[in-house]
Amino acid sequence: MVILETKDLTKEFLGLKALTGVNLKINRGEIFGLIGPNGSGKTTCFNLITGFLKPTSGNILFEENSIKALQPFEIAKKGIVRTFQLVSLFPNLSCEENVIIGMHSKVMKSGLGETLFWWKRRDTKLVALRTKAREILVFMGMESLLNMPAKNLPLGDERRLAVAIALAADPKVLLLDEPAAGMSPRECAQLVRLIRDIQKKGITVLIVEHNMRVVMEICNRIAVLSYGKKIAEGLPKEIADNKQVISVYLGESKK
Amino acid sequence: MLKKNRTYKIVVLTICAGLLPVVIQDAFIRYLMVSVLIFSIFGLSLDVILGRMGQFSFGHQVFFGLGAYTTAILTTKLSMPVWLSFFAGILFASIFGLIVGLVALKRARGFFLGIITLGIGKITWMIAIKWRAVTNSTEGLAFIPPLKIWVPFLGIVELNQEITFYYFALAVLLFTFFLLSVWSKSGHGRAVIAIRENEELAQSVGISPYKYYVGAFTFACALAGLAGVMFAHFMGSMGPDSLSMYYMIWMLAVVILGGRNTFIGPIVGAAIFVFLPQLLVGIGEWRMVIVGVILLLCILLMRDGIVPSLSLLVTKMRNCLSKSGH
Repeated sequence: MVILETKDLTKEFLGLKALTGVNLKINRGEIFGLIGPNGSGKTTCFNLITGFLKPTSGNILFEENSIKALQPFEIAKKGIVRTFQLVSLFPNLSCEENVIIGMHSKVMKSGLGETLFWWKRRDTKLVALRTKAREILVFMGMESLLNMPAKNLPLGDERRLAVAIALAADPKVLLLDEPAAGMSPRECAQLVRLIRDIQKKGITVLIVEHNMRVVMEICNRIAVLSYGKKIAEGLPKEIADNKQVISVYLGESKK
Repeated sequence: MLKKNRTYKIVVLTICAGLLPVVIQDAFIRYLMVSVLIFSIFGLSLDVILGRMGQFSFGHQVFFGLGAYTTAILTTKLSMPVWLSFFAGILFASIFGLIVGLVALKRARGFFLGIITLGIGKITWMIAIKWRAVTNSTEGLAFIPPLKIWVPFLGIVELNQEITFYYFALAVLLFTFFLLSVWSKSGHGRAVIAIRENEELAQSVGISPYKYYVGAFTFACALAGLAGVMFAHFMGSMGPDSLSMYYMIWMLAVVILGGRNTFIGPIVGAAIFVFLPQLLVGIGEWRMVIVGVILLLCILLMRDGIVPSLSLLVTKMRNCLSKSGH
């Protein structure tokens, strides 16, 4: 069953075609990999799906409804949550507070009234938020870092916290933009386990990644982009054997 | 434990503040003390924008001035009851703040927001000067009636003396504290902090920057209106000065020097700005130069403001002491 679909997705920046007619179908519950050389349009694709950029033409369907005209925060509320390629956190807040902010759209339902009458129930509510935040951090294996300001974290933990924030927003589809960049092999192995655990929670994962070992190991299906066009799509094994994909990554062999 | 400690501190500080006018009999110093309280409220409202939202506003005096003008015009020209005009002033400042926020915060951030608010400040100041029929131009409005409140055992008290107004202003300041602390702990306050820290990431977890920033901006304007209304009724007269950049610059200095993102910072800042020039009155014409030098030294030595820097120093000293103790 398709949860997220792009139809002829095209994006031009002042005449430069970053993405040309890309069709993707992502099924509910799978881990879908999006790969390609630098500048092939993977991050542009992410930005279009999450509303940070508007497509020049084409459409994006989430659960069969078009989301291309929505603001980023509206798309996030619908259940598509992303992480960023360059780690993006709330630097001056503790890990716990970072995660609590991630839960925002699930907590704030009644707007102004919620704020005005907050003080009546603030203690019980705060306790509930904290408990939930702790659960997520435990799931991420970060319970010891609860009160650490985000800006003091090492890179690996920064990336995990970014994922924790995204998870706190209770996504249906999680978009991970190069989660393994700059990670050691050990951290990569942890990441693979983590993404599998996320899948087990019933969350669909769309992942952009350069680390082929990670991609080939966890993805159910993979699409390959080159110069803004989709050149291949299929199972990891098919992609690994695809001549065109190999030539895009390694260049043509001289005969 | 921490929470208890804080409540304890607030109670002690309130009692001290409550006893001050009993100790100090001088009417002029009492007058200055009331000014400190009013400008503390104004400073706290500006801190919502500078500290919590992490944005710039060079037109926050507009909402202070609008509150003051509204209540002054309504009471002197239309002889409206003081309490009605008191709330009308706050309401008008909030509505105008909401409109400015809706327009300015759509895209503008940082210095761009500063320039927009600067323009709005200039426009309102010109209107106050030119619209003679309503505002009396530069002469301003006089004979603004004092506020009246009902106090148990004393009956209805007119707040026309420094000492009575002092207690009223202290109560309002405490109420402002309460509002701010509730707000900053609420989901709304958290969302605003999130947007300040990282607008892009906040959006990506479902927080609408526009909505929450407009809300916080309006809240700040309502508090500024509150300070303005109190100012008008305390002074009994006011003019277009209350809408001028003069106040804005001083308030900016009050918040930055006192310390952003703190409750006590704007109060310390306001106290320094009200009392320091008076303390140096004997020096004569060199007075403002000395004030300038002191401010410069404060900012150079304590970049985050007085309150955050001092509390950091205290923590460090405590750590040192506990280490040497072991």
